[in-house]
Amino acid sequence: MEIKNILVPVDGSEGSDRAITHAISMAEVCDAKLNFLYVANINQLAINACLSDAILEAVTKAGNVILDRAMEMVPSGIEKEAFSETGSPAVVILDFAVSNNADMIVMGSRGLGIVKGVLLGSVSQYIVEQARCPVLVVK
Amino acid sequence: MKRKRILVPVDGSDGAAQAVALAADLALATDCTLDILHVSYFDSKTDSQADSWLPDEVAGAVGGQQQEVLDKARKGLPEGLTADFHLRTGNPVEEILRFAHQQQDWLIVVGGRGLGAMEGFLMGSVSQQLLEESPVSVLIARQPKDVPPKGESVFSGFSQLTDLVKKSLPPLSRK
Repeated sequence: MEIKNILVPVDGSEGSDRAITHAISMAEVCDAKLNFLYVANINQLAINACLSDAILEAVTKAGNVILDRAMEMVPSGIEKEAFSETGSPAVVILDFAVSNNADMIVMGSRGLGIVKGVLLGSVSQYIVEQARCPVLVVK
Repeated sequence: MKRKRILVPVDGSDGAAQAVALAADLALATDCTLDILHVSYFDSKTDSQADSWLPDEVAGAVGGQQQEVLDKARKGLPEGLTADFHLRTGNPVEEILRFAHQQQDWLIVVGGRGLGAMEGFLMGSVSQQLLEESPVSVLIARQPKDVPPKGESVFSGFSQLTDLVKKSLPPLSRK
């Protein structure tokens, strides 16, 4: 099996940074392209506040900062691209993996979730269960 | 990051065979050595000496079985790969993690079956427990056919059920 297309969902957390580092070394050895994906959890925001343009803009900006930082970590010579989507993270990440033919998903074991006691983040857990390609859970 | 060894726990299942194949590809690309490990609850020391009235699958010797599992993994390996084979006895998750620590493995590659909500719950998935407890990064080998199409998952079954309940309830009047 060839790994040419690696999907790295990012959320700006420490775990996601470690996942980026791991994904870079994976891309180096496999000569693969890195696809960074930031998913703005709009569903959750809609519950918390009335969705206004200002909020949307702020969310997009936050996502761009995280994506820019990820892109900067990649040494030159490795193909890379950044994507930004909105929706429920787990679902969007899986759909993205399918539509972009990801050969591997590299992600942290815990994101920015609120429940610290849970060992595996709910997004990671869902993706581990449902993904159709290999998933690397970085510790 | 040190990349020297990749650990693949095997149990003779198809999922384990997939994990070996994926790990072998990675090991070739990264110039790593594979550690192929089989953990069984019992070993030849615990085999009963006396003849048993139980069938062989239950009371038979396990020594041969362990070698079979490793041999199966050995067959799937490509040329030019260095791999070490190991046998341990005890609780699989504990032994795998202890082994990974001793060998300072860079990565653990496991099969992806049995990770679903129900399978994990009913059968006590080793992969799931490893994912949660491992201090080492875990790669889950997975092929598209392992995952049921969306319509068949437990979650969609649940959402169908809630849709049904919603439909059968009178609509809420808004003030």
